Amino acid sequence: MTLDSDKKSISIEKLNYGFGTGETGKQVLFDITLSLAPGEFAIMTGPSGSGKTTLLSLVGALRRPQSGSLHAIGHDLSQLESPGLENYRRRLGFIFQLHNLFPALTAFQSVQMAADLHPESGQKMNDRIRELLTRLGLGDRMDYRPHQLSGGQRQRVAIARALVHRPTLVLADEPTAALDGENTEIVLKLLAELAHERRTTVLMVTQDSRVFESADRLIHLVDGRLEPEEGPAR
Amino acid sequence: MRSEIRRAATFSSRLLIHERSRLLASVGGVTFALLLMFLQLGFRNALLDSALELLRQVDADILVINKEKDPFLKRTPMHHERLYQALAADGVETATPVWIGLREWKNIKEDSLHPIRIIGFRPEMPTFLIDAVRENAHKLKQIGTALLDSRSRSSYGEIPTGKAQVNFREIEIVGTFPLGTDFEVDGSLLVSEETFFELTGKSPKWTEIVLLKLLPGTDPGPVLDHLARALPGDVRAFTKDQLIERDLAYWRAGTPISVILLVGVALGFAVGVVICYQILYTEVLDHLAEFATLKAMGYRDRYIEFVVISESALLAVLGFIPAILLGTGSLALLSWSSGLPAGVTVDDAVRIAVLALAMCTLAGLLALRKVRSLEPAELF
Repeated sequence: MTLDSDKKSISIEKLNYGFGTGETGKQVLFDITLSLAPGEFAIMTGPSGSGKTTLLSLVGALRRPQSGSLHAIGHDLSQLESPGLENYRRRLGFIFQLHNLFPALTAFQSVQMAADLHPESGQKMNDRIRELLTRLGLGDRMDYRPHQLSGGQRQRVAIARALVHRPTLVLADEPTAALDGENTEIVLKLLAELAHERRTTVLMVTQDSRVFESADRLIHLVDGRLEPEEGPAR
Repeated sequence: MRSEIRRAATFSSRLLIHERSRLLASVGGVTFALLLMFLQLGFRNALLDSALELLRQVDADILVINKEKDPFLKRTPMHHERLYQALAADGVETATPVWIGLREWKNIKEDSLHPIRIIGFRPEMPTFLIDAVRENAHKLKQIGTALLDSRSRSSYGEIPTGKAQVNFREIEIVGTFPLGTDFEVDGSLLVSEETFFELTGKSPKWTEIVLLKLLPGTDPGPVLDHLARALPGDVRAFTKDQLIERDLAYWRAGTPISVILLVGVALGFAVGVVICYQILYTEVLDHLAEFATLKAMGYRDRYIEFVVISESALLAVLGFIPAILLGTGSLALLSWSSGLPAGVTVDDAVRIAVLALAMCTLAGLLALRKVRSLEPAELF
């Protein structure tokens, strides 16, 4: 790990990634070099199939880098093994495109599953779960199971699940895709607050141009390559 | 660690209970497999207990039998002189002969013949530990009278007391005693020595068993040694416990039926593993994306393994309760209808509970292979 990467929340250098090998193999990321500072709220956009989600899953330690270097919140992700791997993932807040909520769990219990991974679990954490769900407009839906919730409500439960433990780094894959304008605003405000008040780094993948203005940085990924940045989004 | 297990157990119970219809079907499947095991074990107990019941009920410290009489129920008489030879041994207080024969009982109402075991003894001698026999033995002193096993099968007809026909001779049933049927006969008849010879036509020269009672405080070991030296080689002497152990070993290992019934238990176990595996595998498969999300959130494989194993254990417990109720009920019904002592002991129930846990845990471990190979990157 370099001194430089220590100061950054995410530090990526010459990262390459592909699926499969030989003639059937397909490279999806080419020489990606990118860094994000603590408290930075970045939106990554680009056409479908450009490698945004793959890059997000690499930063989320769901895939292992094949070449180049990838450091995030003090970890070299190419070297990460269990239990360090799980400890790293616990410091993240990952919002998936699909909410993947257990049908058996209520909204409260789903968020509690994330809270349980942290030592501060208990009454204080339960209060935080209620507060967060209420803020996301689900105060009266805490005891509802996924089948009793709309798509947007389920997505907000998944967002609460990703944020309840106040992660150091938030990785969000199309978090507002299922949300209406009002709830999109609420979620973006929440993410911006985390970034600016708690110095949480937020890397959000979206194609929703309505939300670009909320970000500190706009990153374009086209055909697996980063486009030169034009400056702050705002 | 403990709180992690507790949380995993709570979580797994939520997963299982959530889908009631699936839970019912799952518990039904596990119950079916456990019921199979209960019944097979109950049948095996019936085989062992029915074969040993007569031996258990004789009032003796030592038994002298023909050396070829293996198992105990095999009819292999010895010369009556062995009674007096055994009685002469130091420490022996009494020697009581028992005769056994197999004849036909006639169901007068249905005009059908059924095999019945006829046991002859001397009513004035303490021969059986059954209270009803002790109380009614004096009634047998009159020739042509008999006590009928009250647990005989209904094929004998309804004759608690009164006239009956055995081996085409008329006898008078003067009372009953509880013994039970076995895999050879539907019931037994107790008669005096004289009635026995008259009913069976057997020769008084031959005796089936000699029951020895020892003087109070006598160690049976030296008496057995003495009998081994003093008696001719055609007979052998055993303590009652030794003979029970020998017979148990014979019925457990020496008979195909016992092995078949044990195979039945193993089959029930295998069926249970398959059923339980199907249930848990489907459960895991249905929630693959959710489990992958848990891994992406930082849950370790170990936690998810706890969840699946907890589900297995819960299934075992939920399946065991109806299985033990249905199993004991079915065996009681079988016992009532057949007269066989079919049932399970507390030890058997504990064994089945352990097997249930092992069965479901094994199925859980097999289902876990899918979880272990799960990559959260598959979410994308």
